[in-house]
Amino acid sequence: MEKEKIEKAFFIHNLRNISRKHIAKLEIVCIGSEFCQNIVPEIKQIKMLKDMGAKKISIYTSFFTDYGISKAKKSISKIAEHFHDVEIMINDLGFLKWLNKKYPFLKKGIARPLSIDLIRMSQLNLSSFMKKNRLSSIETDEDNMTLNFNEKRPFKIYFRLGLKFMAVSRFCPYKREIVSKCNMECLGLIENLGIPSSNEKLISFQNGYFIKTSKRGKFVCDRVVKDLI
Amino acid sequence: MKIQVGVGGRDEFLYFLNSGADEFYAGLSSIPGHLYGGDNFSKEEELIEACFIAHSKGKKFFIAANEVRADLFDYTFEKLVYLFKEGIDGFILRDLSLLSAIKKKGIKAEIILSSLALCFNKDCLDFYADLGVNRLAIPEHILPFEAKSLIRNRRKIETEVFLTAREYCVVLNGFCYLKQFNGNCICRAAFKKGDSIFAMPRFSVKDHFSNLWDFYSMGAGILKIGRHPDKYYGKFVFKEVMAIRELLENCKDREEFVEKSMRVHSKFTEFLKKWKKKK
Repeated sequence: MEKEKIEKAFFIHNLRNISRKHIAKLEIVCIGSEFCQNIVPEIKQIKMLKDMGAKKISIYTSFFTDYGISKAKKSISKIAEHFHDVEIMINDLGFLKWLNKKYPFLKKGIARPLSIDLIRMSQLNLSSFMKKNRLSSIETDEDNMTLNFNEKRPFKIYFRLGLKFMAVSRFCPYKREIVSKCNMECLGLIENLGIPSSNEKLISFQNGYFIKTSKRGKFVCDRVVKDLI
Repeated sequence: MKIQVGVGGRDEFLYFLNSGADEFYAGLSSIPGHLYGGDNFSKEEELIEACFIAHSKGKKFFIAANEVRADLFDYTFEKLVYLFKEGIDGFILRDLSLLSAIKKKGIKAEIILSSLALCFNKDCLDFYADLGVNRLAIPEHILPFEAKSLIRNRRKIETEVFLTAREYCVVLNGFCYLKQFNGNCICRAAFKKGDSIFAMPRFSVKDHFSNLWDFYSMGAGILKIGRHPDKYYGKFVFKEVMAIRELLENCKDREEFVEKSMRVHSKFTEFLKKWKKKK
């Protein structure tokens, strides 16, 4: 059963494809990438979103190598110094450790795929982890997993609609290798892959593989995050 | 370089012990673990006995408990504590709550962070080291220059690598739901993309061996073999790993190692193909 007053967030994968008018209407704007370390928002994008009227901004980050985390730290530092109200969604525990040291009061949550492990913890254990690490939310696309937590939980659950996670690789499907630097030519690019001996399609997006879901079971959440594709 | 073998039962363990394996790991059926068709020990007495025998030969024995299950948390924790008291050297883990609980209990076991965890940088390794991790199984999708800080880390954490030329997932296998379409792994499938075919990108065989040389040269100290559903297959992989280890220790440079290991790998692959046909 959906809770009342659920926040609505929209994930914009390519800022070039969205108008000022549209941005101003959105309650929460999400940018970045959970799956590719090369797609880390820069301060100019945050400024642009704010100029366009974005009210709340949630920045999604991936898991990183040393090179990737170094770049992400520089970028997020500039953003955090100017915009204290951004939220950072995390997939890297090293990045979390750094954020807690440098910007302890920044709002933070756990994104997919890291949330796959954490959402399988008991409410007690997850609450303890979240509290210890100054985390306020966890995002999932697994409707059934959200039912394991009651309303007294000290963290918010974000439910992701649109692209349901199936797998991730560190190999870029476009460059066909592990890539440290790129021009993010894949932004917003989605490709359908026919699965042998199946009518279903796998979706290739950034470094991840997904399916589209229109049907979902019961779930509880405090925010719905929708991919704008 | 030590060889660590995953074993699914007593007979398998004894075979690899007598064949020269240096370390062992196993699962217990009642404990959540990530298993690709191999076996778990069904009785803890057999596990404890295997551990005792391993110790008598100066070898180590670990337990794999590398999945997260809220409903089995208390049971798993108590079981791991018990097994440690009975002599198990350590655990292969990824569950953050289990890591915390074991640290809080003050258990001085060897804690191996599973290759399934998302640990690709030294800050992340620090996070896990603060939770008691003192060994790392390097994740499969990493280039040598990226792994350098993990292998040559400042926390004196030993590192393990799989023979990825033989055992490798095209996607990060700790976070994979691709079996849900038809019950089988489809990451190596030929997907249809428009009028063409799409294959998920991966390391080539040459890449695997080139990477292995670099990991070894940087200081990775343990070569890992996973558990296999077919015991004969597991034995072939072990023989290949033994041959590869010898090459690692005796080749003068990467070029020589890659050339020779690819030949060895090719021979084993041919042999496995023939064996599979006969089955």
